[in-house]
Amino acid sequence: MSSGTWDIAVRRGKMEEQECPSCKTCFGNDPYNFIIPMNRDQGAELLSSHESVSRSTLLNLLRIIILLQSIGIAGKYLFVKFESDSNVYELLFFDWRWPEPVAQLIDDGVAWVCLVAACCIFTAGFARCLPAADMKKMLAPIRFVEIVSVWLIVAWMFILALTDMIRGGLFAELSLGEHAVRFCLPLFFWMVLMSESTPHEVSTDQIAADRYSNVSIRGRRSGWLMWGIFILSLATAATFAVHGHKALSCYGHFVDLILLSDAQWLGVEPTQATVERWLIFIGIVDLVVSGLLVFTRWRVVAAYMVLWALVTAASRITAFGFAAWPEALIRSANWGAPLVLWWCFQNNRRTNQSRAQTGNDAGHIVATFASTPPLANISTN
Amino acid sequence: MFKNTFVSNSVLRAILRGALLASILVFSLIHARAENPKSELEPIHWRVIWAANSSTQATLSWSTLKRGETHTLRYRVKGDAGSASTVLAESGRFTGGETELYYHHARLTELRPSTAYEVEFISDKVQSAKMYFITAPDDDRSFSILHGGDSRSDHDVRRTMNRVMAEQTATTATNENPDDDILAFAHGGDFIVSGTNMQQWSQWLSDQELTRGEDGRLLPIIPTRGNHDHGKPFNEVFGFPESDKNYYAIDLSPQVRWLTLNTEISTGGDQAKWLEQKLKASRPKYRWLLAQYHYPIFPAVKGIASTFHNWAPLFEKYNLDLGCESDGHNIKRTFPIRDGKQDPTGVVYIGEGGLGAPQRTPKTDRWYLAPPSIADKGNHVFMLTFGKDKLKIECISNDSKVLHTFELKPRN
Repeated sequence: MSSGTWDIAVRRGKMEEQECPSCKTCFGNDPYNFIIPMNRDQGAELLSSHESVSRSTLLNLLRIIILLQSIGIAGKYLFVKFESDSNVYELLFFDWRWPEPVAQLIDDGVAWVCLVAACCIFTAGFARCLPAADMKKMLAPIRFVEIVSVWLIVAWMFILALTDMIRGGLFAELSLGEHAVRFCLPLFFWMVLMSESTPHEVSTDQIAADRYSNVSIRGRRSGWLMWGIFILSLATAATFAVHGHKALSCYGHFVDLILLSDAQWLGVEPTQATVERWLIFIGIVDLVVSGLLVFTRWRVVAAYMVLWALVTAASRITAFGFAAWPEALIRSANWGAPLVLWWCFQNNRRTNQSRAQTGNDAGHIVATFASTPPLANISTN
Repeated sequence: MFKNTFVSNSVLRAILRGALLASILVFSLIHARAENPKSELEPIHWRVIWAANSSTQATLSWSTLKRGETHTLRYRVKGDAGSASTVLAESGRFTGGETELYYHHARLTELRPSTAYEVEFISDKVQSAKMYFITAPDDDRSFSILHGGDSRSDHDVRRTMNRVMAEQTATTATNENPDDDILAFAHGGDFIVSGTNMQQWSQWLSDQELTRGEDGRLLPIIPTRGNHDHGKPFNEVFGFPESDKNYYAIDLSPQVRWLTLNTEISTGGDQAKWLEQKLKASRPKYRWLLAQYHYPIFPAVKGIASTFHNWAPLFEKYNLDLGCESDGHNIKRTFPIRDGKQDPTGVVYIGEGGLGAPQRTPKTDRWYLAPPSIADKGNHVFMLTFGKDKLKIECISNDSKVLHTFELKPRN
């Protein structure tokens, strides 16, 4: 390292004594992310001002979204008064002629498994708050549980989307795109995990240091993260684009969501023709923002997507009443994915600004991302 | 030795050739179906569709494998010695994959009520056999119709159910009871698995030929669009205009109003307004007021949908007699429901579809499936017999047994 940069041992020593000033609970690890060319002042500013969002905070956000989504799935297929069965059940029973009890068992069983897996992922976040000395022993099993759990969820969400496509129906051919965020968001969680150091690479000191690690800064494993952001961007764009296409087609279910929400809460009483004009506008906006998200990565686009996806998820409840809560929760990834992206974009912007202020290379992050997919370049608007 | 070998080889070759030919013949016989046309212009897939005033109008449709030039329907009152009338059909190619198939729709108007019409489908010079259908009455006589849905899978069961319907139609026409004659067949939707797959539609249309009686009687269809029937072919198969929304009202008699709704488009908005207008106008005039639609309002296995919010209040407000549902793949009959509870003045819902789709176990813990409601499973079709003092509903299994029977009294 060049003169003026921190020595990693010095930094570790500081980290053990220092609490994260903004986030007392954040956890995560990747000591290699700290091996970056920066001087003492830059590093101190980066850490003490909490300008950069920690990887652990990102993981926590993902844990919450995955849990909400899994509760929604379990609610729809297990808990609510009018619980129904998924397309997997229908594929197994109707198309493949498996015995009904077996199809039912698989359908319900996997919904339970996914719920337990999401709870494990969520709880693992707390487990990572253990004192650093304990974490050294616990990190490997925690990581194993997290990876197994998240892959169960990824697989099930993907299978649900795939069976929806296979079984046919209006717009069924677009199901994989429509539900892309549901399996890509947990996939992103796994990629963030993979961007960590493996347990055998981690020392107790490093675990403590990792609690303040930055998701955006360059590291040996940052490729996982960059690919993850790239994939999540595409998935979010795909989900919005499919919804945009359905809105442009004046999909009847969307018309009903607006009309029923209006009847219950607003009383504007628009005609169907008026609602369809709104849907065309909504559809165009959805298509535009999905394109912008991929090609520009503007934070304002991600922020809009978060708000709009929250509105559309909530519309299930405003239209059909609180009994439709699983439908709203199932769509957690619809707003969760752009929220995660916004978080990452925001984080990189701050990091870059911080570097610019301290005289370091403001284009450092961009240069790093350029080695990964071209679309992974993050704008700092 | 050489000669013997040569002879034996010749014999062996002859035997092999014979065996091969026999195999091909047997295979052909096994796979030959009645629907296989003799010529590419032979009219196949004959059907009668009721989507307007069924006592005076009908759409008679058929298909050909090739486009042809002139497609006409020849018709006259059955048994009439006079010359037959001819009507030119609207024709076009079905959309939906690479399957080459052409539809032809002949629209008949100014028919006589309660009259048997003899018809011949003619494509260029190729004629079908003579068949007939009977128009709906314009007087207050008793009659029956069949209702079922979800014929989309299990080809063999679908064919069995079609034979059952043909048998029921023949039985009710020839028995001593003149009040139970079956007039038509209302299909609650999900005809096939993938609505854009013309190969599947072709298969369904071939199977549908089995509802024709041995005497050549065609059973008119009152079609409903289901969630699997998305895409253009549905309107092409049943002769609706290309952009038709597939909700319509027909009179089965001066005292029976039959509404067909579409759960695959917005159930609020224009359709709900139309429904309210029809219910409001129909209730005082008709003894029996019924609606059929695909996705159930009170489902036995699935979740609640927008129909529950958009249509159930209208049904209750205007005292619908019976809601005929499909999609769930089971047998259901609810007790009368009003304001979310059992009420003798409420609306009864039946159906859930059993014309071929595998049957599943209903979720009997749902409040509206508690006794005296019925929740069962098994391939089935409902027979609705409209009388002056009662509406008798029978659930008939695929072996022609009556599984469940109940009656409704007129509201007025």
